[in-house]
Amino acid sequence: MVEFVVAVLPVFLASVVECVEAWTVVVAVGLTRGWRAPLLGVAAAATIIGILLAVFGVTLVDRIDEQVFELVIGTLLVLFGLRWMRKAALRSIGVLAHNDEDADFRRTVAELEASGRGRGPFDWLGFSIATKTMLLEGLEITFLVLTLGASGDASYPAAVTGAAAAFVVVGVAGLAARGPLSRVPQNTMKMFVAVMLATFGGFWVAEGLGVDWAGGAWALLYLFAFWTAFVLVLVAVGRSRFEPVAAEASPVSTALGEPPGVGDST
Amino acid sequence: MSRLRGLVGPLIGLIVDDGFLAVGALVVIAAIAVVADDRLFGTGDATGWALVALLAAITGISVLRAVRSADRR
Repeated sequence: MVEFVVAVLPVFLASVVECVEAWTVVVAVGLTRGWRAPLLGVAAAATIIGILLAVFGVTLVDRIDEQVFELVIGTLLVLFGLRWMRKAALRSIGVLAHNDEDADFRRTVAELEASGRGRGPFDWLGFSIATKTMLLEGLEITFLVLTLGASGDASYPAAVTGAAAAFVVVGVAGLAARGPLSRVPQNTMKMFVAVMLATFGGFWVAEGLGVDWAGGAWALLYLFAFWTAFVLVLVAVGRSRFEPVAAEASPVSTALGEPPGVGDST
Repeated sequence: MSRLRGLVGPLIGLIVDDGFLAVGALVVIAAIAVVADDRLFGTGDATGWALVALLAAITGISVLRAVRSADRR
């Protein structure tokens, strides 16, 4: 049961964030060029991701020595988690702009309208845009499923369940809203996932190096508390040292009480 | 002194800034692997905490350097 929860929660939250970003592009294509091609594109990307999970998931779980596995997977989780933590902290501080799904949606719609409608019976442009977007976001989901899902017998089905549940939840919510899902608190979710990845990553790297944590698996709890406290202090210190340039806030970010950013590299 | 600063600054930047956060994390993990392998330090709980503290330190430095850089602009 613990293995299941440990794998399902971070994968679900991270997958929601990635699916929301992908949905913004898919709904922009659907509303401007018709739904058939982008939905087929999403299905094609989901099939490719499913094949990747089926092939590599089994290989990772069954064929790698446990200690080597912990070290390699832990290192990957640390790298991934710290990157997300850095970006989420910089967004909370106000150095990077928060993701604005409304703005992304408007920009994508404008680009699609400028590109005109294709002549053929099938909208290959809409199909390729939806496929590419879903694949790009889906690869991060694939990575998390493969790493967090490989920590125990129950973890892999749990991680796959988390990712699939996020896909369905975002799909249903998106189709009901018929627009971008801009009210999802993406940065808070990313921060939480980053803390979890840093927790598991650090724990497994140390175990892979032969370290015996006091309390065994209970160490995950105090490591999680450490990383949570660390990131809260980091954001507080960052905010005390940074004066954001007044930027025009979107109505959505204002409603959520999020600070306007001054630029974003990714 | 200024030469030393000119050398140390880019070196720290190489290890902790932006995408180089990854390089810093790898260096930390490699260093802890050496420590864990050493009889003097061993594989006790403190080695695990040293790993976590160093990872937190490079993340903190990376974020605060980005904050300072943005504040200058």
